[in-house]
Amino acid sequence: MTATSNATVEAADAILVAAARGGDLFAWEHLVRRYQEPVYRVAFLIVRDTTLAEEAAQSAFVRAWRALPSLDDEHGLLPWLFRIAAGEARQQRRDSGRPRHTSRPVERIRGPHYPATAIPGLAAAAGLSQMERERVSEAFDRLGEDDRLTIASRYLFGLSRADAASALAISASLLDAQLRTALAHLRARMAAA
Amino acid sequence: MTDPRQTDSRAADSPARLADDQLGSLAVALVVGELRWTPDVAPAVMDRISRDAVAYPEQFDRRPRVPAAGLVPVAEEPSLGRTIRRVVIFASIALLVVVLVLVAATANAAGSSGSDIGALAGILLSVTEAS
Repeated sequence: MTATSNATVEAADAILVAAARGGDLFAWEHLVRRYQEPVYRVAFLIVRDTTLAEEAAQSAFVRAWRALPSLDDEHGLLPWLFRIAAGEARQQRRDSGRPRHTSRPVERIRGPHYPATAIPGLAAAAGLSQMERERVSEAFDRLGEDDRLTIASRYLFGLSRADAASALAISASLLDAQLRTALAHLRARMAAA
Repeated sequence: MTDPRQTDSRAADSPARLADDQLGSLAVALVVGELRWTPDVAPAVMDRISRDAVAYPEQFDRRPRVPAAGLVPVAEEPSLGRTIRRVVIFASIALLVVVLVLVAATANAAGSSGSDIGALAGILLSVTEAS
């Protein structure tokens, strides 16, 4: 996305957020539709189950609506939604009794849905064999929840260092340290595979 | 046997050799790339919010908590008429208490038990003080 279109999206978000804060449900519905895919993806990275991820995404948007007055405008909507979605996904996983490390998920479709949009980072995988792809994703699966969240905060949406730190509600320097640790864990899991 | 050139080529592309940022992006993209569909959660979200708004209207009231200028209720000064009414009511109650006390005293002097009337007078007096 270009800088201009980013600025346009941010300006549109600011208007919609202001309207939603005033109680405008249509504005909130517009924002839900715009951000439901990122929120669903964050939840999926935690729960690794499409049904639970969908429920976590729903709960995250309901909770975000209630918490709109506390939204910090400095970092924008996405880091804030990331934090809420991660919290709801952790809760869903605990409530479901699902273990932290799971086998590969089966994608189940229940209600209305639409095709997932392309993921920019996936282009880097073009030169990898299927075995190498699986080695990376299985190593990621075996990471602890905190490591997965740390990596996701920085690389899932290409958030800046400051925004990723805001998404995890930690300082930027702590994010750097956690990121180094998480990536070291990922390399270790890959080597062990 | 594996062709050594092939091994070298694969090693160069190996994810383990990627820089941290590239590896992080790749890992996340591969996992999320498993998703072919995104559920449309908006209808369910809006339904839940609407139901919550009916069940807990006070939590969903986004109107400003501070009343707009001109709508702030102002404490009224007590009017003369209201003051006179209060004095009249207070005086009536006080007179009633005095009468009851006198009746009780008279009954005591006559040798009969006036404790009930005395207690009633005490209650009335305390009510008057409270008001």
